Amino acid sequence: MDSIRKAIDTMYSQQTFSAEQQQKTWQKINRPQQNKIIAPVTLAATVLSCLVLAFILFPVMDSTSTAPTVYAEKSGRERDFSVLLRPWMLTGMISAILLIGFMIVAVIKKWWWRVLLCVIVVIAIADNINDRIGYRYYVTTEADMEMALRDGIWPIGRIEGLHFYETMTLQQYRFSYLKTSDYGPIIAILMHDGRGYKIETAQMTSDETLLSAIYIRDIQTLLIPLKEHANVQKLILQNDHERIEQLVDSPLTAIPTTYQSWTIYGVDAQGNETLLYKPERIWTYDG
Amino acid sequence: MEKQQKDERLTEAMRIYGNYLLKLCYTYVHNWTVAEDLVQDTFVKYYEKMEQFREEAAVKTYLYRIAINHCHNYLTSWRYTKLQIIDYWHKLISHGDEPEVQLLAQEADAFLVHAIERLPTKYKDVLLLFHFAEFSLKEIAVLVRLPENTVKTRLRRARQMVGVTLQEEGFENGFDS
Repeated sequence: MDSIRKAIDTMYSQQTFSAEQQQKTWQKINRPQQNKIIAPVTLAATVLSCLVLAFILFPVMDSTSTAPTVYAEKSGRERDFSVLLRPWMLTGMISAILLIGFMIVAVIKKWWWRVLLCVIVVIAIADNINDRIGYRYYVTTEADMEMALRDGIWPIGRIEGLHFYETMTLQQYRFSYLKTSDYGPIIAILMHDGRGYKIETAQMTSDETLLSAIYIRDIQTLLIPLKEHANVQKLILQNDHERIEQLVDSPLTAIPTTYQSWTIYGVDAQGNETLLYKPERIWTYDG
Repeated sequence: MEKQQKDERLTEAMRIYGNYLLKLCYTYVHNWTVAEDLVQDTFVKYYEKMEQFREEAAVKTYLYRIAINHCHNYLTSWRYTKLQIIDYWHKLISHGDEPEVQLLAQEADAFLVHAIERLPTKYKDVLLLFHFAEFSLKEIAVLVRLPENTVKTRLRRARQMVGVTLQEEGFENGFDS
C-alpha cells in the first residue's frame, strides 16, 4: 500500500462518512430548492438603479449655442469634466473600474455579499466624483449671469437688486461689472473656451472701498472699475516710466498697457484730481 | 433516469467513496465538521448531475474533482478566513501548539500527514490524487486541467516538499532514516 495512503488511512481511521452523514446528504437533496431567480433579479435591479441614478446625476448638457462667430456665444451650464484629470479623481475612477471588474468576477463566482459590497463602494465613489465635477457656466445675457451668480462657482444664493454697470468683451475675455443689493461691486471674469464665454472667477467685495483694478496679464490690459457715484471724466495713470490720460465714457474702462503697477487718479468735471487706486490695489489676473 | 435508480447509485457512491472523500477534504480544511459538510455538498452535486455519468471511472473522477473544488472554494471563502483569524488569535493567546498536534507528532505517520496538510494547495492536489485517490498522471492532468508534464513536476516537488519537511523533523525522503 502506498505510504501516503496508508498514513492518511491510519491517522484518520476514526473518521468515517457515517450513516448519519449520509442521512444529512439525503436531507440536503430533498430540501426544497431555494428560489434561484431572486439573486440575479436583485442584482439586475441594483445595477439598473445605479445606471438610472448615473443618468440623473450626470446630465451632460443643459445649454444652447447661438450662430457661430469669431468667438461663438453660448448660454447655460455644462458639467465640468476637466476635474476628472486631477490625481485623486483618477485614483477614484481607476478604483471604481477595478471594483467593477472584481464585481463581475464575484457575480460569476456567486459571491453575493462581495457583489453587494462592491456596488455600495462603486456608488460611493461615483457619488463623490459627481459632487466634485461641478458645472461650467456659459454667459451671454444678464439672465445667464444671474443664474451663474445664484448657482455658479461662487454661489451667493438669493439675488435681489441685480444691477449691471457694464459688460465688456476684449478678445477671449469678457468682464461684467455689476452689483446686488446684498453685496458690493462684483467683477466677473469670463474666458472663451472655444465654445462660449465661461465664468472663470470673480472679484466680490462687500464694500466698494475694497474694489481693485485688475491687470489682465494675458492680454496686457488694465481694467479700471469706477465707483458708483464717482464723478470721473478722465483717468490719469502714473508710474515711474509713463503717464497715461484716458477719457472715461463708462463705469468700466480698459487701458492697454505693458506695466502692471500704476497709481490711478480720477479727474472730475471741475478738474479736481482724486486718488482712485494705489499700486497695491491693482490685482493681477494670470488666467 | 428514475428516482429510485438515482437513489441507489448515490447510496452506492456514498458507501464506496464517502470515507475517502472525507479524509481527502480533511487534509485541506483541517476540520471534520467542515469536511463532512463539503463531502455532503459533493454528493448533492453528483446527485443533481447524475444523468451525465455512465461509467464508474467517470463518477470517481467527478467526485474527486468536485470535492477538491469545494475545498478550494472553502479555503478562499470569508468563512474560512474568519476562522483562520480566530484560530490565529487563540494561538497568540495560548502561546503554544495545540495538544492534538503535539500528540500526533509522536508517530511517523503523523509526521507524514502533518507534512501533507501543510503543503500548498496546488501540490496537495496532485499528491493526494496520485497517492491517496490512486489516479494515474494522465487522469490527474484531465482532472486538474493541467498538462501532464506540469502534473509530473508538481508531484515531484510535492514529494520533495514532504521529504524536506520531514527532514526538518529528523526524517529523510518521507521515511525514517
